[in-house]
Amino acid sequence: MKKVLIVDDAAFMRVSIKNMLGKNGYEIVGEAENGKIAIQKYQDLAPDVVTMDITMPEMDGLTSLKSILSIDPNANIIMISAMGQESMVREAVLSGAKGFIVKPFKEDVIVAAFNNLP
Amino acid sequence: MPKGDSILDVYLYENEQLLDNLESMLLVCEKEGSFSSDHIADIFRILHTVKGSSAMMNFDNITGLSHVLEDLFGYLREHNARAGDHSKISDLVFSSLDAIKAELNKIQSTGNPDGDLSQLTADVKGFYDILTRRKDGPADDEDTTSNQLFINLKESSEGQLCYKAHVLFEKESRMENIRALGIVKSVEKLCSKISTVPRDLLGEYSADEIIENGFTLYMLSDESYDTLKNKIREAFFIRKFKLEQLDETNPEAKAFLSNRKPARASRAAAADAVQAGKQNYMSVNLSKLDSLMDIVGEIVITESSVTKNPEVVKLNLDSFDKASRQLRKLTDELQDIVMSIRMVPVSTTFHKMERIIRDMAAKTNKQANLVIIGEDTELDKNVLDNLSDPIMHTVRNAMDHGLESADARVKLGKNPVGQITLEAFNSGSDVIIIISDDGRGLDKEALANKGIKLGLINKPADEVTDNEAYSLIFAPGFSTKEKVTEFSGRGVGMDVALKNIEKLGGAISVDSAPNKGTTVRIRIPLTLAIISGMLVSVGRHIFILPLLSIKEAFKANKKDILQDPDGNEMIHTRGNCFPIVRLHKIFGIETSVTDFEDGMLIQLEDQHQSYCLFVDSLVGEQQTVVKPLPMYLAKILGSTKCVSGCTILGDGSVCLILDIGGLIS
Repeated sequence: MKKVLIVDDAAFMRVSIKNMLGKNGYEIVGEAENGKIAIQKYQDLAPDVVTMDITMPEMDGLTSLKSILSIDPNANIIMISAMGQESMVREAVLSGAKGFIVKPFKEDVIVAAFNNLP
Repeated sequence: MPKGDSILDVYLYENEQLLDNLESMLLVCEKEGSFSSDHIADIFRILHTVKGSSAMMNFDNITGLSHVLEDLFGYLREHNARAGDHSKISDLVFSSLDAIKAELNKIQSTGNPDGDLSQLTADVKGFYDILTRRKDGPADDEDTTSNQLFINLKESSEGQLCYKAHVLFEKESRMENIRALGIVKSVEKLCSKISTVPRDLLGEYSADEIIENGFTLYMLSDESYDTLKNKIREAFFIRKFKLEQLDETNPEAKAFLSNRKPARASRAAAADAVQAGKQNYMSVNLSKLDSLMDIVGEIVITESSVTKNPEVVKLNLDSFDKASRQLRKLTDELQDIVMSIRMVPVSTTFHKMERIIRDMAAKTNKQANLVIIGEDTELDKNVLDNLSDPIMHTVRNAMDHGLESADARVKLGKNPVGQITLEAFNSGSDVIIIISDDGRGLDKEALANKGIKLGLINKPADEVTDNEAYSLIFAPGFSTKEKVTEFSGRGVGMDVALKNIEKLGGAISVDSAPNKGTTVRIRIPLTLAIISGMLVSVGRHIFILPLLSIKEAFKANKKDILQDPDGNEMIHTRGNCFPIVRLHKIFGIETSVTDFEDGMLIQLEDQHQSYCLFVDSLVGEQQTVVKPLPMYLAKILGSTKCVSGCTILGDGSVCLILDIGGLIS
């Protein structure tokens, strides 16, 4: 079972993603409400996949993505973006995010994305 | 999307918190007269989260409104804008905030946010459009020069193969151009040369083109067909994908290979570090906390009934004493924690008043400052919730009736900006909340006359005391206002406030001086609380006094006792004279101790007064759970107001908790 770390400042989003993935056979090993905590939890929990929100307090998703990739270049990080954040998503993808999902999304979308991971 | 209620709860709870935060931030900004970049970033982030969550819940009207607001603040953030008309912005955001809150309420009650926010959305959008046009023509300042075409030159192209990949994305996967860019990025390292159709992936129409026609990628690589194929397949949301190997003679391949336009992407998009206040909340059902509180109360009682069990105490067990001390320490901690969980600072309620004053100031053409004192004072959540309406009514009255218009204030030699003060502090086992203004004060004569006219007072106007006149404002349907305004004057309000506060076991009083202002004082006891009490005995009975109201306890000296002509006893101590209250007389208890020198005097103090209570002796200090008086006791004792509650002692007996203010009146 793949281990997932959910990073989002909105508890609502975390619960939603958790529910969707949990139903489809992913194990949620941790949640982080900002990029800084995400880096710490990534090292502690060694998840297989990270879902990463972009706009967060303390440290945003882009900075966190880059830090995690500098620790583990093979990290599987999926950005969770909203409409209108094209430039950030672009930077994330160029920095090495494995993909991205645009909010609002449905369960099948996120599951399809996850199933596509190597 | 099918969802359990719990998700909706989280949604509602979180968004309410966020909107409250947003509101207080806006108020700060408005006070400062500008939006600082930190605040803009915070507000942007909040709106972003609200938009995202609402979109997930399919609340389209909220999503739409928060989206345009987000755009607006996104723009302000990008342009470091102390931009333009900040008051217009705050007005827009305030009204949007109210609209969204109203929708959230609807969701809570009916589950269906059906309000039409389109007008507001259009307003914000219109403002945003004007703003962006004014600042700099084309708002879209994406650097279109970079990222045109990726060509990765490794110079040696011998033995390499030419591939063509064609990819179609799933419908609705969105940001297709960036998805294409992601694919380019993923194969970049495997190829020595890459070209794409459309060439400019980030151009304005490329996303549409990719949605329509798909995305074509030419690659020159020494990797195998399968490696490339698997690599590209890793991308998300691919609907159709075809990879073919091109012969060098193929015209497409020729065109690709001859193209030598070096351009590497420069990716310096400024990542903005958003810093903000943290929120770490968890919502808990209040009824669970109530039962937790009850259980802890029982544990505290049981703890003392076990450790103070007279039969065990007789045995003089060392190890038992040790263990019970530890148990005591832990129950104390447990109790503190449970209490603190339920306690919330009054600051949120107080700060809500800023908003009310702001709105009313605009509409009544008065100016007022709100001064808040003691916002850290904590109150039980239930109590505070019930208090917010009374406070609001009082503040409204102060704004509407109390404060004069700026012109009138100048004529009276006052600061044209009125002042409303909200103050909270602990006093013994009560919390006192004082709402005062520096306005014209209550018109005693008008109150009295109106009271007589309505038959609420049966004596001539000049015999009515200040207190009687002022108390009239709490009478139902009472108003001296000739005309009803949007905010007050209907004569309901203060009587509701009074009822709410009496329900909580509190009291409300009002004081006023002409042209100096009006002060409303709310006193709320912490009835739910566990208090530290002092056990005192009178005859065979034991009573509890709240420890916090005890100043000192001492043996009296006969020469310090005085008597006034009416026979009231007083004691002279440390240069002050205090009336003495004999507890045994109040409750009609027989006791052998009637001489002051035989018993104890306890000096008690509350907000208004200080006096000495005469009891037989002190028994000891104990944590006591305050329970409301049972019906039959309340009936007997209710009128005397001497007792604020009762508790159960370690040995199981019921014990009354004395009300300090009630004893002397």
